[in-house]
Amino acid sequence: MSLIDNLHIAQTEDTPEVYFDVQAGRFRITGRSLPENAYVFYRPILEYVSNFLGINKKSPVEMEFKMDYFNSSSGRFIFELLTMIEESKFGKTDFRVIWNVDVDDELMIEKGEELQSLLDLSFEIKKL
Amino acid sequence: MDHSSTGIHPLLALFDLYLKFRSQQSVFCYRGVFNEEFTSTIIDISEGANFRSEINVNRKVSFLLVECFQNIIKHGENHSEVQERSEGIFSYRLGPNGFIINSINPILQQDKPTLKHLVDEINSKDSKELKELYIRKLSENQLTEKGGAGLGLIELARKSGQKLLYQFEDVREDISLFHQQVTFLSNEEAPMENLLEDTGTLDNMLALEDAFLMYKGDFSQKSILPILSIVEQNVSAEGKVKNTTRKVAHLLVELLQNISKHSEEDETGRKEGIFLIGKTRDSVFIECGNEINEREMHFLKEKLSYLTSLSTSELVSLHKTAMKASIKFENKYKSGLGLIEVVKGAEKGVVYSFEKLDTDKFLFAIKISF
Repeated sequence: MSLIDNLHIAQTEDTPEVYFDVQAGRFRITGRSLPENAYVFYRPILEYVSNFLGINKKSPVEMEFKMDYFNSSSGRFIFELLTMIEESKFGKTDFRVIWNVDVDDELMIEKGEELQSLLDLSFEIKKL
Repeated sequence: MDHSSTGIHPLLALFDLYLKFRSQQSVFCYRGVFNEEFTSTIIDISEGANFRSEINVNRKVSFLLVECFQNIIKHGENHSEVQERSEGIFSYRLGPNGFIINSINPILQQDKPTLKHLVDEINSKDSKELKELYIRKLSENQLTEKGGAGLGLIELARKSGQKLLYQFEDVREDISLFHQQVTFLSNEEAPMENLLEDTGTLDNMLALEDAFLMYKGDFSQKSILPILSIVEQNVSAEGKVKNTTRKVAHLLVELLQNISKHSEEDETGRKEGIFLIGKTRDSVFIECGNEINEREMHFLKEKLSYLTSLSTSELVSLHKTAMKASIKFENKYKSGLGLIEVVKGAEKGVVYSFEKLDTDKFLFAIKISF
Protein backbone atom coordinates (compact mmCIF):
# COMPACT_ATOMS: atom_id res chain seq x y z
CA MET A 1 0.00 0.00 0.00
CA SER A 2 1.24 3.36 -0.90
CA LEU A 3 0.36 6.57 0.89
CA ILE A 4 0.36 8.59 -2.27
CA ASP A 5 -1.44 8.10 -5.58
CA ASN A 6 0.29 7.90 -8.91
CA LEU A 7 0.49 11.11 -10.91
CA HIS A 8 -0.48 11.16 -14.55
CA ILE A 9 -0.68 14.29 -16.69
CA ALA A 10 -1.39 13.76 -20.38
CA GLN A 11 0.77 15.33 -23.04
CA THR A 12 -0.44 18.50 -24.79
CA GLU A 13 1.07 20.33 -27.73
CA ASP A 14 3.24 22.42 -25.45
CA THR A 15 3.60 20.36 -22.29
CA PRO A 16 5.11 16.89 -21.75
CA GLU A 17 3.51 13.71 -20.49
CA VAL A 18 4.15 13.15 -16.82
CA TYR A 19 3.73 9.69 -15.34
CA PHE A 20 4.89 9.01 -11.82
CA ASP A 21 4.26 5.39 -10.83
CA VAL A 22 4.87 5.15 -7.11
CA GLN A 23 4.53 1.34 -6.79
CA ALA A 24 6.97 0.66 -9.59
CA GLY A 25 9.28 3.43 -8.43
CA ARG A 26 9.36 4.84 -11.94
CA PHE A 27 8.86 8.52 -12.68
CA ARG A 28 8.80 9.63 -16.30
CA ILE A 29 8.60 13.00 -18.06
CA THR A 30 8.46 12.78 -21.84
CA GLY A 31 7.79 15.15 -24.73
CA ARG A 32 8.30 18.82 -25.31
CA SER A 33 7.82 21.50 -22.73
CA LEU A 34 7.36 25.06 -23.84
CA PRO A 35 4.46 26.65 -22.00
CA GLU A 36 4.57 30.45 -21.79
CA ASN A 37 4.23 30.32 -18.04
CA ALA A 38 5.89 27.10 -16.92
CA TYR A 39 5.10 27.79 -13.26
CA VAL A 40 1.45 26.97 -13.79
CA PHE A 41 2.35 23.58 -15.27
CA TYR A 42 5.18 22.61 -12.93
CA ARG A 43 3.79 23.80 -9.59
CA PRO A 44 1.56 20.72 -9.02
CA ILE A 45 4.42 18.45 -10.07
CA LEU A 46 6.76 20.10 -7.59
CA GLU A 47 4.13 19.80 -4.86
CA TYR A 48 3.61 16.14 -5.68
CA VAL A 49 7.31 15.34 -5.54
CA SER A 50 7.67 17.31 -2.32
CA ASN A 51 4.90 15.19 -0.74
CA PHE A 52 6.40 12.03 -2.12
CA LEU A 53 9.84 12.82 -0.72
CA GLY A 54 8.30 13.50 2.68
CA ILE A 55 6.34 10.23 2.78
CA ASN A 56 8.40 7.67 0.92
CA LYS A 57 10.29 5.16 2.97
CA LYS A 58 13.27 5.19 0.67
CA SER A 59 12.33 2.45 -1.73
CA PRO A 60 14.46 3.06 -4.83
CA VAL A 61 13.16 5.42 -7.48
CA GLU A 62 14.19 5.96 -11.06
CA MET A 63 13.29 9.26 -12.71
CA GLU A 64 13.48 9.19 -16.47
CA PHE A 65 13.40 12.10 -18.85
CA LYS A 66 13.02 11.99 -22.60
CA MET A 67 12.60 15.55 -23.73
CA ASP A 68 12.21 16.67 -27.34
CA TYR A 69 13.02 20.14 -26.15
CA PHE A 70 12.06 22.61 -23.48
CA ASN A 71 12.09 26.36 -23.03
CA SER A 72 14.17 28.20 -20.49
CA SER A 73 11.37 28.63 -18.02
CA SER A 74 10.62 24.88 -18.09
CA GLY A 75 14.34 24.29 -17.61
CA ARG A 76 14.24 26.34 -14.48
CA PHE A 77 11.50 24.13 -12.99
CA ILE A 78 13.10 20.86 -14.06
CA PHE A 79 16.18 22.08 -12.24
CA GLU A 80 14.11 22.98 -9.19
CA LEU A 81 12.53 19.53 -9.22
CA LEU A 82 15.92 17.83 -9.33
CA THR A 83 17.28 20.14 -6.65
CA MET A 84 14.47 19.05 -4.33
CA ILE A 85 15.53 15.45 -4.85
CA GLU A 86 19.19 16.31 -4.33
CA GLU A 87 18.35 17.96 -1.01
CA SER A 88 16.09 15.13 0.17
CA LYS A 89 16.99 12.18 2.36
CA PHE A 90 17.37 9.95 -0.69
CA GLY A 91 20.89 8.83 -1.34
CA LYS A 92 22.48 8.53 -4.74
CA THR A 93 21.77 4.82 -4.94
CA ASP A 94 18.11 5.23 -3.99
CA PHE A 95 17.16 7.94 -6.46
CA ARG A 96 18.59 7.70 -9.94
CA VAL A 97 17.96 10.17 -12.73
CA ILE A 98 18.18 8.95 -16.31
CA TRP A 99 18.34 11.56 -19.04
CA ASN A 100 17.43 9.83 -22.29
CA VAL A 101 18.46 11.57 -25.51
CA ASP A 102 18.70 10.74 -29.17
CA VAL A 103 22.36 10.22 -29.91
CA ASP A 104 22.35 13.07 -32.45
CA ASP A 105 20.35 15.55 -30.42
CA GLU A 106 23.08 18.05 -29.55
CA LEU A 107 20.75 20.47 -27.82
CA MET A 108 19.26 17.97 -25.38
CA ILE A 109 22.66 16.39 -24.72
CA GLU A 110 23.97 19.85 -23.86
CA LYS A 111 20.99 20.49 -21.57
CA GLY A 112 21.49 17.14 -19.85
CA GLU A 113 25.17 17.81 -19.32
CA GLU A 114 24.43 21.18 -17.84
CA LEU A 115 21.95 19.72 -15.34
CA GLN A 116 24.38 16.94 -14.54
CA SER A 117 27.13 19.45 -13.74
CA LEU A 118 24.84 21.49 -11.52
CA LEU A 119 23.54 18.63 -9.40
CA ASP A 120 25.03 16.22 -6.95
CA LEU A 121 22.84 13.29 -7.99
CA SER A 122 23.11 9.96 -9.70
CA PHE A 123 22.49 11.42 -13.16
CA GLU A 124 23.06 9.25 -16.20
CA ILE A 125 22.89 10.57 -19.75
CA LYS A 126 21.70 7.68 -21.87
CA LYS A 127 22.23 8.17 -25.60
CA LEU A 128 19.72 6.14 -27.55
CA MET B 1 18.85 55.28 -33.48
CA ASP B 2 21.05 52.91 -31.65
CA HIS B 3 22.86 50.23 -33.58
CA SER B 4 24.95 47.62 -31.98
CA SER B 5 27.21 47.55 -35.00
CA THR B 6 28.54 50.30 -37.16
CA GLY B 7 28.04 50.65 -40.90
CA ILE B 8 24.86 49.50 -42.61
CA HIS B 9 21.87 48.88 -40.45
CA PRO B 10 21.20 45.13 -40.50
CA LEU B 11 17.67 45.44 -39.18
CA LEU B 12 16.41 48.16 -41.49
CA ALA B 13 14.32 45.74 -43.56
CA LEU B 14 12.58 44.44 -40.47
CA PHE B 15 11.85 48.00 -39.37
CA ASP B 16 10.47 48.88 -42.82
CA LEU B 17 8.28 45.78 -42.84
CA TYR B 18 6.99 46.58 -39.40
CA LEU B 19 6.04 50.12 -40.39
CA LYS B 20 4.43 48.81 -43.57
CA PHE B 21 2.23 46.40 -41.64
CA ARG B 22 1.81 48.20 -38.36
CA SER B 23 -1.89 48.90 -38.94
CA GLN B 24 -2.68 45.33 -40.03
CA GLN B 25 -3.89 42.94 -37.39
CA SER B 26 -2.05 39.98 -38.86
CA VAL B 27 0.18 39.37 -41.85
CA PHE B 28 1.73 36.10 -42.89
CA CYS B 29 3.98 35.36 -45.81
CA TYR B 30 5.68 32.13 -46.75
CA ARG B 31 8.05 31.70 -49.68
CA GLY B 32 9.34 28.34 -50.61
CA VAL B 33 8.44 24.77 -51.23
CA PHE B 34 4.78 23.92 -50.82
CA ASN B 35 3.78 20.85 -49.06
CA GLU B 36 0.39 19.28 -48.37
CA GLU B 37 1.17 19.02 -44.68
CA PHE B 38 1.25 22.81 -44.37
CA THR B 39 -2.46 23.03 -45.06
CA SER B 40 -3.62 22.37 -41.52
CA THR B 41 -0.83 24.53 -40.19
CA ILE B 42 -1.97 27.46 -42.30
CA ILE B 43 -5.46 27.10 -40.86
CA ASP B 44 -4.10 27.03 -37.31
CA ILE B 45 -2.10 30.17 -37.93
CA SER B 46 -5.05 32.01 -39.38
CA GLU B 47 -7.27 30.90 -36.54
CA GLY B 48 -4.71 32.35 -34.19
CA ALA B 49 -5.27 35.59 -36.07
CA ASN B 50 -8.91 35.47 -35.05
CA PHE B 51 -10.85 36.95 -37.90
CA ARG B 52 -13.81 38.60 -36.17
CA SER B 53 -15.74 36.64 -33.64
CA GLU B 54 -18.43 35.18 -35.88
CA ILE B 55 -17.73 31.50 -36.34
CA ASN B 56 -19.20 31.36 -39.83
CA VAL B 57 -16.85 34.01 -41.08
CA ASN B 58 -13.90 32.19 -39.58
CA ARG B 59 -14.91 28.96 -41.28
CA LYS B 60 -15.21 30.69 -44.62
CA VAL B 61 -11.80 32.22 -44.25
CA SER B 62 -10.32 28.85 -43.35
CA PHE B 63 -12.01 27.35 -46.36
CA LEU B 64 -10.60 30.03 -48.67
CA LEU B 65 -7.12 29.56 -47.25
CA VAL B 66 -7.21 25.84 -47.82
CA GLU B 67 -8.50 26.19 -51.37
CA CYS B 68 -5.87 28.77 -52.27
CA PHE B 69 -3.13 26.78 -50.72
CA GLN B 70 -4.11 23.50 -52.30
CA ASN B 71 -4.44 25.13 -55.70
CA ILE B 72 -0.79 26.04 -55.50
CA ILE B 73 0.20 22.56 -54.43
CA LYS B 74 -1.75 21.06 -57.30
CA HIS B 75 0.09 23.17 -59.83
CA GLY B 76 3.38 22.27 -58.20
CA GLU B 77 2.67 18.59 -58.26
CA ASN B 78 1.55 18.61 -61.83
CA HIS B 79 4.91 19.94 -62.91
CA SER B 80 7.18 18.32 -60.43
CA GLU B 81 9.69 17.46 -63.16
CA VAL B 82 11.05 20.98 -62.74
CA GLN B 83 11.84 21.38 -59.09
CA GLU B 84 11.47 25.12 -58.76
CA ARG B 85 7.90 24.86 -59.92
CA SER B 86 6.71 23.50 -56.64
CA GLU B 87 7.87 26.73 -55.06
CA GLY B 88 5.71 29.74 -54.59
CA ILE B 89 4.58 32.54 -52.35
CA PHE B 90 1.59 32.42 -50.12
CA SER B 91 0.49 35.31 -47.97
CA TYR B 92 -2.49 36.69 -46.18
CA ARG B 93 -3.30 39.98 -44.53
CA LEU B 94 -5.98 40.66 -42.01
CA GLY B 95 -6.67 44.36 -41.85
CA PRO B 96 -9.56 46.77 -41.29
CA ASN B 97 -11.08 46.04 -44.71
CA GLY B 98 -11.05 42.30 -44.56
CA PHE B 99 -9.02 39.21 -45.15
CA ILE B 100 -6.92 39.13 -48.32
CA ILE B 101 -5.04 36.12 -49.62
CA ASN B 102 -2.33 36.57 -52.23
CA SER B 103 -0.31 33.89 -53.90
CA ILE B 104 2.23 33.66 -56.67
CA ASN B 105 3.03 30.34 -58.25
CA PRO B 106 4.76 29.21 -61.40
CA ILE B 107 2.77 27.59 -64.19
CA LEU B 108 3.73 26.31 -67.62
CA GLN B 109 3.31 28.86 -70.39
CA GLN B 110 1.27 26.30 -72.30
CA ASP B 111 -1.31 26.24 -69.48
CA LYS B 112 -1.66 30.01 -69.36
CA PRO B 113 -4.42 30.45 -72.00
CA THR B 114 -6.65 27.82 -70.35
CA LEU B 115 -6.16 29.31 -66.90
CA LYS B 116 -6.77 32.85 -68.14
CA HIS B 117 -9.90 31.75 -69.94
CA LEU B 118 -11.19 30.01 -66.84
CA VAL B 119 -10.60 32.93 -64.46
CA ASP B 120 -12.14 35.37 -66.93
CA GLU B 121 -15.14 33.11 -67.29
CA ILE B 122 -15.54 32.89 -63.50
CA ASN B 123 -15.24 36.65 -63.10
CA SER B 124 -17.90 37.26 -65.73
CA LYS B 125 -20.56 35.30 -63.84
CA ASP B 126 -22.95 36.15 -61.04
CA SER B 127 -23.45 33.83 -58.08
CA LYS B 128 -26.26 31.84 -59.68
CA GLU B 129 -24.25 31.27 -62.84
CA LEU B 130 -21.22 30.32 -60.77
CA LYS B 131 -23.22 27.63 -59.05
CA GLU B 132 -24.27 26.24 -62.44
CA LEU B 133 -20.71 26.35 -63.67
CA TYR B 134 -19.59 24.55 -60.54
CA ILE B 135 -22.10 21.75 -61.00
CA ARG B 136 -21.24 21.40 -64.68
CA LYS B 137 -17.51 21.20 -63.93
CA LEU B 138 -18.17 18.75 -61.17
CA SER B 139 -19.80 16.27 -63.52
CA GLU B 140 -17.19 16.85 -66.25
CA ASN B 141 -14.43 16.24 -63.74
CA GLN B 142 -15.69 12.81 -62.92
CA LEU B 143 -14.53 11.79 -66.36
CA THR B 144 -11.02 13.18 -66.08
CA GLU B 145 -7.89 12.24 -64.21
CA LYS B 146 -7.24 15.79 -63.09
CA GLY B 147 -9.32 16.14 -59.96
CA GLY B 148 -10.37 19.66 -59.21
CA ALA B 149 -9.07 21.48 -62.27
CA GLY B 150 -11.00 24.72 -62.08
CA LEU B 151 -13.28 23.70 -59.25
CA GLY B 152 -11.06 25.29 -56.64
CA LEU B 153 -11.06 28.62 -58.45
CA ILE B 154 -14.83 28.58 -58.84
CA GLU B 155 -15.23 27.88 -55.16
CA LEU B 156 -12.87 30.72 -54.26
CA ALA B 157 -15.01 33.13 -56.26
CA ARG B 158 -18.26 31.75 -54.81
CA LYS B 159 -17.22 31.75 -51.19
CA SER B 160 -15.42 35.09 -51.22
CA GLY B 161 -18.22 36.77 -53.16
CA GLN B 162 -15.61 38.89 -54.98
CA LYS B 163 -13.90 38.83 -58.34
CA LEU B 164 -10.61 37.00 -58.43
CA LEU B 165 -7.73 39.36 -59.14
CA TYR B 166 -4.85 37.99 -61.16
CA GLN B 167 -1.99 38.73 -63.47
CA PHE B 168 0.65 36.72 -65.28
CA GLU B 169 4.33 37.51 -65.17
CA ASP B 170 6.43 35.81 -67.81
CA VAL B 171 9.72 34.80 -66.29
CA ARG B 172 11.00 32.23 -68.76
CA GLU B 173 10.18 30.97 -72.19
CA ASP B 174 8.28 28.07 -70.69
CA ILE B 175 7.25 29.45 -67.31
CA SER B 176 4.93 32.19 -66.18
CA LEU B 177 4.12 33.30 -62.65
CA PHE B 178 0.45 33.32 -61.79
CA HIS B 179 -0.31 36.12 -59.32
CA GLN B 180 -3.64 35.69 -57.66
CA GLN B 181 -5.73 37.48 -55.04
CA VAL B 182 -8.79 36.29 -53.18
CA THR B 183 -10.55 38.97 -51.19
CA PHE B 184 -12.93 38.56 -48.32
CA LEU B 185 -14.32 41.97 -47.39
CA SER B 186 -15.25 42.63 -43.76
CA ASN B 187 -18.45 44.37 -44.90
CA GLU B 188 -20.14 45.43 -48.11
CA GLU B 189 -18.88 49.01 -47.92
CA ALA B 190 -15.24 48.07 -47.41
CA PRO B 191 -13.05 49.07 -50.35
CA MET B 192 -11.45 46.40 -52.52
CA GLU B 193 -7.67 46.67 -52.31
CA ASN B 194 -5.53 45.34 -55.12
CA LEU B 195 -2.39 43.87 -53.57
CA LEU B 196 -1.05 42.00 -56.60
CA GLU B 197 1.85 44.44 -57.09
CA ASP B 198 2.41 44.86 -53.40
CA THR B 199 2.76 41.11 -52.87
CA GLY B 200 5.48 41.08 -55.52
CA THR B 201 7.21 43.89 -53.62
CA LEU B 202 6.91 42.00 -50.35
CA ASP B 203 8.38 38.93 -52.01
CA ASN B 204 11.34 41.00 -53.23
CA MET B 205 11.92 42.51 -49.81
CA LEU B 206 11.96 39.06 -48.22
CA ALA B 207 14.15 37.64 -50.99
CA LEU B 208 16.73 40.38 -50.39
CA GLU B 209 16.78 39.38 -46.73
CA ASP B 210 17.03 35.64 -47.58
CA ALA B 211 13.88 35.17 -45.50
CA PHE B 212 11.43 32.36 -46.19
CA LEU B 213 8.84 33.24 -43.59
CA MET B 214 7.42 36.44 -42.20
CA TYR B 215 4.77 36.84 -39.57
CA LYS B 216 3.33 39.96 -38.02
CA GLY B 217 0.66 39.74 -35.40
CA ASP B 218 -0.18 38.15 -32.11
CA PHE B 219 2.75 36.48 -30.35
CA SER B 220 0.76 34.31 -27.99
CA GLN B 221 1.35 30.58 -27.80
CA LYS B 222 -1.69 29.85 -29.94
CA SER B 223 -0.07 31.70 -32.82
CA ILE B 224 3.46 30.52 -32.25
CA LEU B 225 2.92 26.75 -32.14
CA PRO B 226 1.61 26.28 -35.69
CA ILE B 227 4.44 28.44 -37.03
CA LEU B 228 6.89 26.14 -35.30
CA SER B 229 5.68 23.21 -37.33
CA ILE B 230 6.22 25.13 -40.59
CA VAL B 231 9.71 25.96 -39.45
CA GLU B 232 10.38 22.36 -38.50
CA GLN B 233 9.30 21.12 -41.90
CA ASN B 234 10.99 23.83 -43.90
CA VAL B 235 14.36 23.74 -42.27
CA SER B 236 14.45 19.97 -42.22
CA ALA B 237 13.63 19.83 -45.92
CA GLU B 238 17.14 21.14 -46.45
CA GLY B 239 19.40 18.29 -45.55
CA LYS B 240 21.60 18.50 -42.46
CA VAL B 241 18.35 18.59 -40.66
CA LYS B 242 17.57 17.59 -37.16
CA ASN B 243 19.96 19.59 -35.06
CA THR B 244 19.45 22.78 -37.02
CA THR B 245 15.71 22.29 -36.93
CA ARG B 246 15.69 21.76 -33.20
CA LYS B 247 17.83 24.77 -32.71
CA VAL B 248 15.64 27.02 -34.81
CA ALA B 249 12.58 25.86 -32.92
CA HIS B 250 14.28 26.26 -29.58
CA LEU B 251 15.61 29.74 -30.26
CA LEU B 252 12.41 30.91 -31.89
CA VAL B 253 10.36 29.87 -28.86
CA GLU B 254 12.86 31.45 -26.52
CA LEU B 255 12.96 34.66 -28.49
CA LEU B 256 9.23 35.03 -28.95
CA GLN B 257 8.35 34.11 -25.39
CA ASN B 258 11.00 36.37 -24.00
CA ILE B 259 9.95 39.19 -26.16
CA SER B 260 6.33 38.79 -25.28
CA LYS B 261 7.33 39.27 -21.65
CA HIS B 262 8.76 42.66 -22.53
CA SER B 263 5.95 43.60 -24.88
CA GLU B 264 3.57 46.43 -24.54
CA GLU B 265 0.15 44.86 -24.39
CA ASP B 266 -2.59 46.60 -26.32
CA GLU B 267 -6.03 47.29 -24.84
CA THR B 268 -7.15 43.71 -25.49
CA GLY B 269 -4.09 42.16 -23.88
CA ARG B 270 -2.64 41.02 -27.20
CA LYS B 271 1.10 40.93 -27.52
CA GLU B 272 2.24 41.82 -30.94
CA GLY B 273 5.38 41.69 -32.95
CA ILE B 274 6.99 40.72 -36.21
CA PHE B 275 9.53 38.12 -37.10
CA LEU B 276 11.39 36.77 -40.11
CA ILE B 277 13.12 33.45 -40.48
CA GLY B 278 15.61 32.85 -43.20
CA LYS B 279 18.64 30.96 -44.27
CA THR B 280 21.77 31.76 -46.19
CA ARG B 281 24.25 29.25 -47.55
CA ASP B 282 25.98 28.81 -44.22
CA SER B 283 23.61 30.02 -41.56
CA VAL B 284 20.06 30.26 -40.35
CA PHE B 285 18.72 33.43 -38.78
CA ILE B 286 15.74 34.82 -36.92
CA GLU B 287 14.88 38.50 -36.89
CA CYS B 288 12.34 39.60 -34.40
CA GLY B 289 10.80 42.92 -33.44
CA ASN B 290 8.22 44.26 -31.04
CA GLU B 291 7.07 47.49 -29.45
CA ILE B 292 8.40 48.38 -26.04
CA ASN B 293 8.41 51.46 -23.82
CA GLU B 294 11.41 53.52 -22.81
CA ARG B 295 11.91 51.78 -19.48
CA GLU B 296 12.05 48.35 -21.16
CA MET B 297 14.40 49.77 -23.75
CA HIS B 298 16.93 50.81 -21.10
CA PHE B 299 16.62 47.45 -19.40
CA LEU B 300 17.15 45.48 -22.62
CA LYS B 301 19.97 47.72 -23.83
CA GLU B 302 21.90 47.21 -20.66
CA LYS B 303 21.26 43.49 -20.49
CA LEU B 304 22.07 42.79 -24.15
CA SER B 305 25.16 44.95 -24.18
CA TYR B 306 26.45 42.94 -21.24
CA LEU B 307 25.47 39.52 -22.64
CA THR B 308 26.92 40.18 -26.09
CA SER B 309 30.24 41.20 -24.51
CA LEU B 310 30.70 37.73 -23.02
CA SER B 311 32.55 34.79 -24.53
CA THR B 312 30.82 31.43 -25.03
CA SER B 313 32.39 29.94 -21.92
CA GLU B 314 31.41 32.99 -19.90
CA LEU B 315 27.84 32.63 -21.17
CA VAL B 316 27.80 28.95 -20.20
CA SER B 317 28.91 29.71 -16.67
CA LEU B 318 26.54 32.69 -16.39
CA HIS B 319 23.70 30.39 -17.45
CA LYS B 320 24.61 27.94 -14.71
CA THR B 321 24.78 30.67 -12.11
CA ALA B 322 21.44 32.06 -13.27
CA MET B 323 19.91 28.57 -13.11
CA LYS B 324 21.03 28.16 -9.53
CA ALA B 325 19.82 31.60 -8.60
CA SER B 326 16.52 31.27 -10.42
CA ILE B 327 14.99 28.79 -8.02
CA LYS B 328 15.57 31.16 -5.14
CA PHE B 329 13.71 33.98 -6.88
CA GLU B 330 10.22 34.92 -5.88
CA ASN B 331 9.37 36.00 -9.42
CA LYS B 332 8.64 32.69 -11.07
CA TYR B 333 7.86 34.23 -14.44
CA LYS B 334 10.94 36.27 -15.33
CA SER B 335 13.92 34.09 -14.60
CA GLY B 336 16.25 35.98 -16.95
CA LEU B 337 17.43 32.69 -18.46
CA GLY B 338 15.78 33.21 -21.84
CA LEU B 339 17.97 36.03 -23.10
CA ILE B 340 21.10 34.20 -21.97
CA GLU B 341 19.95 31.15 -23.95
CA VAL B 342 19.26 33.29 -26.99
CA VAL B 343 22.67 34.98 -26.96
CA LYS B 344 24.40 31.67 -26.18
CA GLY B 345 22.65 29.97 -29.09
CA ALA B 346 23.43 32.72 -31.59
CA GLU B 347 26.77 31.26 -32.59
CA LYS B 348 27.05 33.43 -35.67
CA GLY B 349 26.17 36.70 -34.06
CA VAL B 350 23.60 38.92 -32.44
CA VAL B 351 22.65 42.40 -33.60
CA TYR B 352 19.93 44.54 -32.18
CA SER B 353 18.53 48.02 -32.44
CA PHE B 354 15.89 50.29 -30.99
CA GLU B 355 13.95 52.59 -33.30
CA LYS B 356 11.63 55.30 -32.11
CA LEU B 357 8.03 54.85 -33.27
CA ASP B 358 6.02 57.35 -31.23
CA THR B 359 6.39 59.09 -27.90
CA ASP B 360 7.56 56.43 -25.48
CA LYS B 361 7.22 53.68 -28.08
CA PHE B 362 10.18 51.94 -29.64
CA LEU B 363 10.63 49.02 -31.93
CA PHE B 364 13.08 46.63 -30.35
CA ALA B 365 14.62 44.57 -33.15
CA ILE B 366 17.04 41.70 -32.75
CA LYS B 367 18.68 39.36 -35.24
CA ILE B 368 20.34 36.15 -34.19
CA SER B 369 22.32 33.95 -36.59
CA PHE B 370 23.52 30.42 -36.07
